Amino acid sequence: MRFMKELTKGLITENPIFVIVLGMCPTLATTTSVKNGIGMGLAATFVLICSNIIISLVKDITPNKIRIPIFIVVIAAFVSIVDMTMAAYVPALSKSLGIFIPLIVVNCIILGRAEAFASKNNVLNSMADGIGMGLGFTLALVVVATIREILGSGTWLGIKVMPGNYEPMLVAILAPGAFITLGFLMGLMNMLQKKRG
Amino acid sequence: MIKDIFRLGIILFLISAIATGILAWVNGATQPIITERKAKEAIETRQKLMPDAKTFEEKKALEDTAFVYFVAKDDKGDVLGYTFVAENKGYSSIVKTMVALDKEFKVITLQVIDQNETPGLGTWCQDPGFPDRFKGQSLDGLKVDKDGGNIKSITGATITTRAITNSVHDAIQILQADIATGQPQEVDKPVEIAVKPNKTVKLSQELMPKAKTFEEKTAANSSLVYYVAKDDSGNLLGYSFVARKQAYSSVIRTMVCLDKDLKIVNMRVLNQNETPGLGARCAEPSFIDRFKSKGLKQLKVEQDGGKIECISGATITTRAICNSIRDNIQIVEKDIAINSIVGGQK
Repeated sequence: MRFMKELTKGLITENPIFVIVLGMCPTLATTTSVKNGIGMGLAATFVLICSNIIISLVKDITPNKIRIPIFIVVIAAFVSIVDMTMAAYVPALSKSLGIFIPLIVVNCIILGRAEAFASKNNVLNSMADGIGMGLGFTLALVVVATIREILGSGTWLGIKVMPGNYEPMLVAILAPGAFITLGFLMGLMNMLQKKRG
Repeated sequence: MIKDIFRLGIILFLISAIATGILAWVNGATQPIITERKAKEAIETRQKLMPDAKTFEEKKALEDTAFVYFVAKDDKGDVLGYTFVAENKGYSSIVKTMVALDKEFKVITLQVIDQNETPGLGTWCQDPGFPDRFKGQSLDGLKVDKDGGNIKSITGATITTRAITNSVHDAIQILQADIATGQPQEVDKPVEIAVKPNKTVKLSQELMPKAKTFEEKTAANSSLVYYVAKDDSGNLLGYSFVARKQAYSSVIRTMVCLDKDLKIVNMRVLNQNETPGLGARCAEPSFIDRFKSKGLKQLKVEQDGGKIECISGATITTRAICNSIRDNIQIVEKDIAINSIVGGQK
């Protein structure tokens, strides 16, 4: 079924982080802990699904010349809703993610899928694409965050997993560690893709 | 060409307008929750830092009204100390620290409540052991060791430690100066009166001193008992009643006195058990000023389109009181109209 095909491609074969290489900034910044990574991923997924649906719905009445401003208005509106709702109902998570919630607006994944897919496909498939890409993004965030949190804090989702005398590798929590982790993972991904043929 | 630009403009305008409308609605729904939550967090932290304190009285420094502090008192009303939030630019973020002082302006303890410093370095300021460096320190010792004071810097995070220390130091200076110049204010303790029906008249008399007689009436179609106040010549002065409504965490009973045009002349909150520092502020003497002279048309909170200003962080409490008064004035108004048509008197 086309719906499932559009949905699953975002998870592995066209993973937005490891394959299409979009949304790098939030990936590097919010993967200091798995909890933050999940929070960020789910917030972005929500925005992605909603914006894909709306943009697909209005694709026939959006003039080509002003499509980008319209995409941004739609995306920014959903991000603001997510921001306000999180600040009201999950304030601790909202504080940890901080400025990266408003920055979902310029997360290239969302604008990228709006331009490349939602504006050219029907609502159902756009929704599937949104779900798949969003979950793929979240998955990638969790993988990167798992490595960084275990190495850099000795915990996973806040639970201590390393032995008591483990000296945390501080670099894993800082920016260079993010780049290094991501580089290794992308290299691994490429290797696996090549083997598949 | 012009027609094209016009069309594009209209479409963009429409989409933006719809988006804005939806956002305004979500904002309206979430803002009260966000403000109340922030205020509640502040209160909880304050209580945690000074567990023996029973009340926290908010004050603004005369010299610098942006600086807010709280006078902590125990259940006897004696001053235990003070709390405030000091803030300063740290290494990579603004660091906010809530500080508790004893009445000699020595630090009891503190807690960094907001920071985004370097992980593993500056972030040690939120480690449970960090406040120990400040305990018992007074103004003179409140500098980092590098600057000649008693505060030991976090290894590799001098800038963060210095920012926190200096913010606390400066805040204590403002506070000490303010305590020295300011007049300590007597806070009226919340009046808890269980008003039995026959005491209502006594209270009405207190709030409407010019009245000589209070005629009890029961509104038709309602269980509301209200009083018609007349002066010694028998002229109508106004009305009084007790309004009650479930607020945030308790049922609030408010005695309200109206003039003959159904505008509020006086009122008093009789019972409440709202959040201390927020909804409980409805018991402060100044609260009733928000309602004085207001009539039915203005009797809604600002958020609902009326003229009643809500207590910051206690919209739900203010709204409950306001709406209970409003509903009862409407009942009284209707009853007066019925009685004047029927011409009956109890």
